[in-house]
Amino acid sequence: MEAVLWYVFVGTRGGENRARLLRALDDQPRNPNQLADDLNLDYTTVRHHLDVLVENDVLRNSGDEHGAIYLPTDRARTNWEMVEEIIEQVE
Amino acid sequence: MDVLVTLLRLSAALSVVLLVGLIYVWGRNYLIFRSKHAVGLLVFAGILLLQTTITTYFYTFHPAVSGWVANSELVHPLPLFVMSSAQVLQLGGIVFITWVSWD
Repeated sequence: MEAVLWYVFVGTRGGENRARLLRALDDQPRNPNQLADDLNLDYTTVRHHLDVLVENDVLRNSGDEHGAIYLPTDRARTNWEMVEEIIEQVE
Repeated sequence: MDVLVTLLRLSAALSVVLLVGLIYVWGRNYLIFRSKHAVGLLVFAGILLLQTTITTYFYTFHPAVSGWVANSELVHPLPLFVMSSAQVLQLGGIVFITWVSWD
């Protein structure tokens, strides 16, 4: 998990925005539309980063059909100290 | 022979371009996250950039060496084949890393 986490945030071009998304979702679970508004990001950008984070088992979808919200996985929670180190760095 | 020299020159030059892009991404992330992992990626890319820049300079731009390497009467085909292949394989690896990191 540690390797996945650092790679997905520190190794890639979209790492900064992914860290901002994760911090926002830790603060309060939201759907992609709310995230795009709150973080001033394009909707498709938000969707893309959410998909990457779900693929890497950092986020999960609440599963509701309408307006599904995203939240950190249990796996991310068990490594939360490291996650915090990462997400505290972005503005 | 000509093909091998061209492959060697092109794959080294293209590697330089991609590595500059990677160093931009990882350098920016280092400034944001201050992570030791970014330092590792930067060291890795920096050393490869040094190597590919030197290769490009000598085999494409150096006034004496660039002519020498392209002269089949002076250069043995075996080391040229091996070096050219290694450079192309290295480019393949760099292309893959760029593809996954550009995301």
